[in-house]
Amino acid sequence: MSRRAVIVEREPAWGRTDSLYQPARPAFWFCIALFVLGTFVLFARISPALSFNVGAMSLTVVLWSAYALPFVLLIITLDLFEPEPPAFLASAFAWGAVVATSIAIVANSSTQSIMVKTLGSDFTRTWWPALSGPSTEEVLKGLGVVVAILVARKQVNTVLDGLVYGLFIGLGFQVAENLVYTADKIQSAVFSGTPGRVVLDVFILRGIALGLWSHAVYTAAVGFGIAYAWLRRDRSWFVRIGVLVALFAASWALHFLWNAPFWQPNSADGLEWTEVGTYIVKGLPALLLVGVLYWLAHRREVSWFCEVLDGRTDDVTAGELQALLTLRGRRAARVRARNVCGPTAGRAVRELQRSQVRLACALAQGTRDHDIEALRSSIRQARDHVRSECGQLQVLGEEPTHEPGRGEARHDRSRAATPRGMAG
Amino acid sequence: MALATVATVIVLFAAVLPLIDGLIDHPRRGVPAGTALEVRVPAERAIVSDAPGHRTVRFVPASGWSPVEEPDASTSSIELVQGGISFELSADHDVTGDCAGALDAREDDLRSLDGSGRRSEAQTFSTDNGQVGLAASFVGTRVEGLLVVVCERGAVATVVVSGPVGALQGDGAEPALDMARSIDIR
Repeated sequence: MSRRAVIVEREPAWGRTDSLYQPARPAFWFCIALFVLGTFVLFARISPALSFNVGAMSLTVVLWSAYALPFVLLIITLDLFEPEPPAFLASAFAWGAVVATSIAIVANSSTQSIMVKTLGSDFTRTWWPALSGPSTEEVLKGLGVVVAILVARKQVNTVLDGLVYGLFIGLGFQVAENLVYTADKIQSAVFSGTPGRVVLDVFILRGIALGLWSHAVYTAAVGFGIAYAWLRRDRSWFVRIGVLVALFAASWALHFLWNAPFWQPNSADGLEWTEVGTYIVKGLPALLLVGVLYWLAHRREVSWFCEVLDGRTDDVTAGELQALLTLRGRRAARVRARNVCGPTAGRAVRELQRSQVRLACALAQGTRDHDIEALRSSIRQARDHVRSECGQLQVLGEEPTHEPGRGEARHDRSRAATPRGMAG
Repeated sequence: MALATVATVIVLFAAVLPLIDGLIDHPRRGVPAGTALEVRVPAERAIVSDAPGHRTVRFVPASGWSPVEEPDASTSSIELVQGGISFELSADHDVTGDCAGALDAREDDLRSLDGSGRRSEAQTFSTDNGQVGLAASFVGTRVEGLLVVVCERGAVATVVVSGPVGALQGDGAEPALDMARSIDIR
């Protein structure tokens, strides 16, 4: 089989994990110092609200924590082949929530005061959110991706990793900003009815109406750009910096558009159907941009995955491989097994898929032969389990001829990237 | 190199920007502490049976607040700013006959500040010298603030405190409230 060797990002770190504790790296201690300082700043900002109404603040913390959970689960599933270590994802979230948010509080306060002094209160009131927000926050969140690369060098090795870390940093920032904002409202709503009502109003407004396309998507685009500039050594310096600058500019512009005084939503404390158009005009472009970037990055990982399992039809049939390429495909195979043969068969298919992904990770990692054999053995056992439950394999997507569905990346060997050092 | 760049940018945001802010003087000097300012209830519209001459609304600006324009006791309104927060006081004849009506009449003010503005339920407000009125907070997507009306014998003093969202957090609203409490309709 002839392959065209293409120098791309380093091979995915499938199966490899580092420890977050890296005392030898200056970046590690740099992060620790910033976390400590940021925690003090945030606590100083939030503690008055705790004193003011501890019940409302407790509700605030519970609501915004719960709000983050589905987004966390969604983002994790995006990294289908190489889930990042939870400790690193948590630290990325913490960068956004603690470091970026606390410094943004200081920086935005300064820019607001400078603008009032130099440009007047009317101009500041109208344009400060649009000018200062993107200029400070997008930079601070983007720095988090750079630090993630510095600390987690072995983990951040594809542009998809940059996008995923960017999503986590942005989500952390979004949640912390909303928490601070809610704490502010609890205190400053001097004449409001109940603090609990204030919390719910802010949650509806910032969590549901304004929060579905916000910091997470902006930082995802910046994270993609940083990872591209850092990792795509096969591209010219001009192209790499160009992609980074273009994506940062796009994030800045989309954030500016969202905060700009024109096309403002008409509701401050709830969802109104008449405002859906405004949300779409201002928010959807960011979501679409990140969708396209994800598709591009995921497609490259699909190529790697197919390449590493190429020719191993004893372990992964063509139909099984196709099912493994998308979350939808994996789920469809499990659902099919469960519907046709019962819940035990569904679980057996899940185990088979896990074993196959583990094999791909081991192959990418260059694991020793006897470990590879152990994994192949577990695949055979899982398949036998499926057979014993189901008696046939169609449930696994093992149709004789299978065409990739719409939106799925086709495995084109002539275009498949061959990562350096990858077995195959 | 990369870490040094990150550290430099963080120092810029966390230390250099506040330093620059501290080096820039406000274009207008604050009102000396303890100085009282006055605005006049428009004479041609005032219907004040028991008060000879013009009626005025007096208040004491908090430290650090600066008038947007040179104070002029012949005008019926004044605006002071501090940081990004604005304190606008206007005096008028109470055409509605009650403070609740005066408060409702100010909905347009909120709309002009932020089309999304929504205000809270009004609550009783009283000044340091016992004059009473109503107050409410409001929040929009860009602007938040307070609305205070004080009614006294046919005259009404209206205060609109506004600033970017988050500017009135914590004790940020207190100086403005202190100014509102110092209102004395004479």
